[in-house]
Amino acid sequence: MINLLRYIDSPGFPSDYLITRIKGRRAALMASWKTVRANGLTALTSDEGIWQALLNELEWLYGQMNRALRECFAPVFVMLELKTIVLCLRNKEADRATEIHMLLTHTLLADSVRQALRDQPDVHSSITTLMETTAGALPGLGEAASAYAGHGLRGFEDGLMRGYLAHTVTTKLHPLINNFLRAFVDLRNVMILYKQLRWGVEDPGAFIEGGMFRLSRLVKLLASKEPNAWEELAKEATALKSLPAAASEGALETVLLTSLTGRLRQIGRGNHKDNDGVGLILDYIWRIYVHARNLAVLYHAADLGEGTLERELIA
Amino acid sequence: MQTVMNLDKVLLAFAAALSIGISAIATAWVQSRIGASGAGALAEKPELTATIIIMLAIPETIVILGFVIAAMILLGK
Repeated sequence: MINLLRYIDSPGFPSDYLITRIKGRRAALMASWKTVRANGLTALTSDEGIWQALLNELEWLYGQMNRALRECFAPVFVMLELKTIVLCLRNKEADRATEIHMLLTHTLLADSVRQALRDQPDVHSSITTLMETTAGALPGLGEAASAYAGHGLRGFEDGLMRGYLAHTVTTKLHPLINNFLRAFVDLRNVMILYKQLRWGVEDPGAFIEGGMFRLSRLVKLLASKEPNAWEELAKEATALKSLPAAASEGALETVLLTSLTGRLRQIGRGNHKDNDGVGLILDYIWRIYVHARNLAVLYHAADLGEGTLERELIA
Repeated sequence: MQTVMNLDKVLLAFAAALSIGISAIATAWVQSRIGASGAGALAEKPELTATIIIMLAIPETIVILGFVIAAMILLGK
């Protein structure tokens, strides 16, 4: 998995050094979020700009890690970089070379992947080159390429993430990272169940294997056609006795993501056994992601009013 | 009689060596961790310099106490 990421010659720094720096930066991140909430987005930005800021921080983090930690966190970094691939392809489709350059400046993706995204003239040839250069190292790419042919970039994004998660949870991972990825799979499965029940679509193949919820259970709930069948799973996934009124898909996603954030925060604060700092680093990576997502919500939905924002933002 | 006295001296020297050795290793381990964390804290907040230097110096007392105990073992009656 680490071969999909850029090779960094530096051996990195000791874990104690990195952990202390992360604690300092975590506090700064929280402070910057409070400022944004108080004053709104002051600078003109874009989806690419928000994602570039995330990549910038991930690049710093990856460079500071020692080799063992880089190896350990490679699956998480690759998972986040899947969105970079998708954003680059979207910009390629819209013929926006500047944005692609912006995204690829700080990405952790390996040179061969960056070349495929930068140098190819269109989306189709980029995907073909990606398949040739990664030679099966990026799980889900084959499935995503087939999905692209049928459903465009939306299908490509879904197929890539589904294939990647389903494969990665079966590999040997640090227990905390394994639990995190499995919880992420559950979150996506609950969302898939919710959408299919709501829109009356029955596609059991859309569920992702490898989460805590068995596929057979998901399929059974889907087959029941009971509109609120997803609630049972959502309660289990969030450990909440009653769910806040989820009026929309976005609101349910926020509830699930907030719950995952809370669990990672507990691990990051040392409430669980975490001698090697993996929990704290994982929590920090997730916070960076949540920060980027919240900024994107503010960017796109700032005019929708405080009530809507409160429902959509992850605490 | 001579052999017993020599054995006493060996044991005393060994005890003194353990006292200074173990405390020195403990100090080194603690300082390595405080040093690494301190460097990280300084990189984020340079205003903590004085605090970090004090924190780094505190474990020195462990090896000093080890040295005092070793001296007491060797010189004490």
